[in-house]
Amino acid sequence: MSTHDSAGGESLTGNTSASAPGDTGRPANPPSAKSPTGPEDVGPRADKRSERLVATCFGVSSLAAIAFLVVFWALPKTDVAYTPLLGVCLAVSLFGVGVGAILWAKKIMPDEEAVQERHPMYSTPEDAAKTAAVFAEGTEKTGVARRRLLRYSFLGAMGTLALPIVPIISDLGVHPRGNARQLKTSPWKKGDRLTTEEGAPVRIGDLEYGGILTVFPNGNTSPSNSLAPTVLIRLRAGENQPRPGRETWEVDGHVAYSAICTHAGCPAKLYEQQTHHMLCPCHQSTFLVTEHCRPIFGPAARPLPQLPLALDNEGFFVAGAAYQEPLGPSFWERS
Amino acid sequence: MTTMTGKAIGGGARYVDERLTSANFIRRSMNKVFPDHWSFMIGEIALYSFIILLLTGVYLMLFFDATAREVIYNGSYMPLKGVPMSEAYSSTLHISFDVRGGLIMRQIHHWAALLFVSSIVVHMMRVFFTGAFRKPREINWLIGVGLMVLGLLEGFAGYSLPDDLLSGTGLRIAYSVGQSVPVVGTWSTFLLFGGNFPGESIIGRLYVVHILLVPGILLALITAHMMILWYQKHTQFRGPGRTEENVVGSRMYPSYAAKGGGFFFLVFGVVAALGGLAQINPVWMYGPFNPSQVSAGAQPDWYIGFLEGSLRLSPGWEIRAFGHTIPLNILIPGVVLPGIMFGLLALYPFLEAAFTKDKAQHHLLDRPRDKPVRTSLGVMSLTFYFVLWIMGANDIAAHLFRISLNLTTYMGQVALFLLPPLMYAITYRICIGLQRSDHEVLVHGVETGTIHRLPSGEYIEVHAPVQESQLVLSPVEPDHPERIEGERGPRALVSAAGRAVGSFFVAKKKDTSVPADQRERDDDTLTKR
Repeated sequence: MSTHDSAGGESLTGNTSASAPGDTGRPANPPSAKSPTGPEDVGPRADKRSERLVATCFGVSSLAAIAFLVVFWALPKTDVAYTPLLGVCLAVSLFGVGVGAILWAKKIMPDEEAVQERHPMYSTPEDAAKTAAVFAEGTEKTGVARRRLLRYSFLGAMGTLALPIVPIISDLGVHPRGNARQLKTSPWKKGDRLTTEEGAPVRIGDLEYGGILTVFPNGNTSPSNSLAPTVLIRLRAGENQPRPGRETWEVDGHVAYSAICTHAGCPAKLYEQQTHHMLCPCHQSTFLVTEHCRPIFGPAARPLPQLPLALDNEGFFVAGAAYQEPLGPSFWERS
Repeated sequence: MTTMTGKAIGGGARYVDERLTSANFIRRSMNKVFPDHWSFMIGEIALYSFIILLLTGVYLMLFFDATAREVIYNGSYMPLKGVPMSEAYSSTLHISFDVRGGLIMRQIHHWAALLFVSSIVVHMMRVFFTGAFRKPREINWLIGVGLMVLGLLEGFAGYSLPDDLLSGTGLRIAYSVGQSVPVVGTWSTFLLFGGNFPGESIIGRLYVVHILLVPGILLALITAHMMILWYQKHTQFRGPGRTEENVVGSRMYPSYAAKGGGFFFLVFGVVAALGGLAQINPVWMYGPFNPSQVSAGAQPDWYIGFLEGSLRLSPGWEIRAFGHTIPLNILIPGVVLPGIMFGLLALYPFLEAAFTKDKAQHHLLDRPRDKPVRTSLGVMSLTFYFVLWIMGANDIAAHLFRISLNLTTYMGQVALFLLPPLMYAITYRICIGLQRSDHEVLVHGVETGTIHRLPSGEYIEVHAPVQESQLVLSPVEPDHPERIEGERGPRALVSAAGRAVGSFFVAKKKDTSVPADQRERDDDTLTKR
């Protein structure tokens, strides 16, 4: 049971510097008054007291674990206090063990200060040289330096073995050439009705001045059609300042823009009707609705794409044409 | 009693030893010395939260269904009854409302994840500011950086799994970030998501990443991290009797095992209390993911906040040329900046060694003040990080302080470039000031609190000379401790002034005065009596 141990080339000494100075030969601090193992902690009575304290901790832990079971089964899981009580019981149970173990170590186990020597973090030059020699000998036996045919055919085989990975990985998604086309295809076609989330078509008068409505093409609200959401906004007559060539894209003050932010693709539809600002809550790109939704603040670099509006013969809003540019965030193949 | 336990252990030990020849190894392991310092426990918190994550994670796996298939919710949470949603979201509601103890397991898992990343980050700060990453520990530093990055990835994958509105928005942004990479971006995001956002595959794939791939790598790296730590032995602070050639502390068994094991239960206890009492990620309040909806004031988990902030601070730059688009407003803040930040973090030990031409092995830790350049660089980098992090919540800040949202962004843009160098200068001054006050104590002694009145009427305070035992060897000459004693120059250090600071940065001196083996005998006689 000796703590002196020199097996394996490591020496360890249970040691404190007061009576047995450490390697530097410095004297230790004088014992301070508030030592954790001060005189009041010593003696059979104090020892018993510590033992009882630790045992109490473990006892509390057991009680809390049983309380956990009681709560788990006795309380209905819909009760407001169900999860909090489970948490408290579990926490007390865990704390009991934790505090008990630490008190055990601090109050009952002898306080020791052990010193252990480090081994040098490098091999001797002889060892390193021997290892290098063994490796060189082995390499020499393979003949890899001399036999060029073997060397290159082996490297070639390793290279070609990587090839099967390519089609396996590429089949994780759609064909590369399809990507850009898919991102560039407008989810709206000419004549698609603007419908609400519930699928109802929209007509003039459904929207107040300053009103905003999220619309989908022909009732397609599927999450997979993630670039489709569009906002229909009603401006007062004369407020809209369309881009040249887009004068006919509005219908009676109504304008429609893609709801998907051109920065990172969040729905940018926090509309402020006094200033006509439209804000994306993710990164705060702000678009000015009256000026073809050009970005006026934040990280977005491009205006929100505009959807040309028209009315069908029943008086419902339809897309006058498909979107003229890719929707959503930028990508390499975009333009 | 001793002989009985000895016999019982002896039988089992012999069985194992005759198969594994383990006696020497086990004895050496039990006798291994660990230095005591509170800051060495932060890494343990990370290890323990990982264990908690594995335990609760396995439980959650038994109930979670990671599929995007649309179902109509029919569980016991009334507000969402009849709402179409993905199976992933529905099974998360099922765990939260219909599985006994499911909610507390989910919440413990989430809190433990926050604690995991937090403790890794604080542990890294400890290692950085005390110079524990220096030779021979650079490999473990690299593993640590890998663990942190994987921890972020694991956390992000995990909180994206429930497929709720908040996490779906996060995935949407991640998709855009992936898409912003020139040449390969579009294709690689299509591969990852199996097509255009959101696709049908991502939840299932994130699940594989979250429960198998990343945890597997984490487990392997943690094992390597611990084995290297074990083999190289722990660093220690300077103190009497502590040298570059030894470790002073308590032995693995029984003292350290009892304390460390107890600490695991304390960490678990804190997380369990949080899981029971503090609601986290109430996905039922966000609703299922829908690309046409978003909630205002939405925040990611804290460790993703700096990316959110950098995206918000970015100006609206974009390059369009030669038929291609490079969205710098995503590429720089979302890919380039984190790449540089993590890259510099990983390379720091090698950069410092190259610049200081330091090729020596180091086992004694530095006090941050003694390496003012490193400490200031660290504070500078942390300031940069914190500006980004705060800006990830600038809308909350604007609302809280009733200032313009736009103003917070402008302030952030200025602060990002102004504050870090300013903090470098301030930190450097503080370090030099602390060094001078150390020197002051060394030259003039410690304040005793005794005031003398001189005949002339002048009051002076009596200073006691610094005792030898209170001296801490200077890091300047670690290999020549004998030279410090005579030197007492401005670069020699003292811990006496640290009476106020206590053992915060300097290893505490134990007051036991009996060798450990002798003490054991004393204790035996004590109990026998």
